[in-house]
Amino acid sequence: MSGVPLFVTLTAYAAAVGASLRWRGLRYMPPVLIAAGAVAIYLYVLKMDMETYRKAVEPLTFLLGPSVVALALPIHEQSALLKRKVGLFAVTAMFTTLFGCLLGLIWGFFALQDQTMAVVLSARMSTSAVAAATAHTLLGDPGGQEAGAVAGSLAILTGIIGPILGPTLLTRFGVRDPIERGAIMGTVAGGLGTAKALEEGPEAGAASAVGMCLAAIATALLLPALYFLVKSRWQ
Amino acid sequence: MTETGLRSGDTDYSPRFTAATISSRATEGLRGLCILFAFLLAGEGMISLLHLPFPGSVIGMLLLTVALRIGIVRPEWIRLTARTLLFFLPLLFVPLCVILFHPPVATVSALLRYGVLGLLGTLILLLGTPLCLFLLFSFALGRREARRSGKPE
Repeated sequence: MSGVPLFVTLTAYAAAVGASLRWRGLRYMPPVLIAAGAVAIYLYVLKMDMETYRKAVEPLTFLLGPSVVALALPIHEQSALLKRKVGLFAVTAMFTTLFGCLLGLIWGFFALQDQTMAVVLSARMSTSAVAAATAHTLLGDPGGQEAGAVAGSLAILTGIIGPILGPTLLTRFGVRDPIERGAIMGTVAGGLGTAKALEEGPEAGAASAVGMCLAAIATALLLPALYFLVKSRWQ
Repeated sequence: MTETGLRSGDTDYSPRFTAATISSRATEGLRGLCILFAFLLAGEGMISLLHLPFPGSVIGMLLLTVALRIGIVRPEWIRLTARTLLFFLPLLFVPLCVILFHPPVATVSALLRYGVLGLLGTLILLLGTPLCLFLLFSFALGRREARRSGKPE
């Protein structure tokens, strides 16, 4: 019965999409989260551990790689529009990385007095795979791999807030340009933000993919420098 | 109507859906999947060769963007597969988000190590940073938008 968790995941997602289309109260809650909650209840009731679940849903996670590669198509199709906003992309990527990473480093070093937590809390501003790799690179072995896994899971927790609050806040403050909306969603919320931005349209989706990519590059390049700078002040 | 010619709740028995059309769509989809996997593998190969701290898929995406730009790959070769995969992108994140409700023991113990204040502060930081960033960007861009609409050219 190894196909049951996959069936439950697919059914939970289909039901969550149906429910959010039917009930207006659920429109602020991304179907991804509702489905994840339902799957978590299923795992809890059957006392199934995460490793077994992860193996059972490998066909889904396996497709995540080519899907991220597929984001090249909206970027190519919207390249003329995206070119006009090069400055916006540069500013959002740089500012997000500086702000998020510095907050994480300062909290980790000065409040928690822990080097590992400082790296984990600053690396999680990027998309989960980059967060894990950067934390691992900065801390080295031993301990780097575990810190990388923690950074990856915290990156997902950070990215979750994007699809919930991002679109509402942007609309409330009058940001209606799809490129601007997408750029912010992608830089701040990574892959989950990009999935949400794609629902708004191809322009927002393309901008979000570029934003996510730039934020990942900025984190991988800037975080080591910021880390050594803040660490030197701490010691 | 989507690229695939399918729409939810649409029962289409028109002659467009002949065996030949379905087979050509399937071939097109497979060709697209092969191209996407080729670029994913190229990205993964690059990061393992150069020891880059990036996921292979992001490098694969950059390589494919360049290939589309210089014309090595034509957009129509991957359009059907890319659009289908991107339509289902949120679904692919469900297994990753389950981690929120079943966090790894390492994450929980790392956070619990700092007691209630450390834990609360860290959670505020984790959720507050994206919220602050959204507020700052929305405020700045919204003000600019308002200034622009206030001064018609």
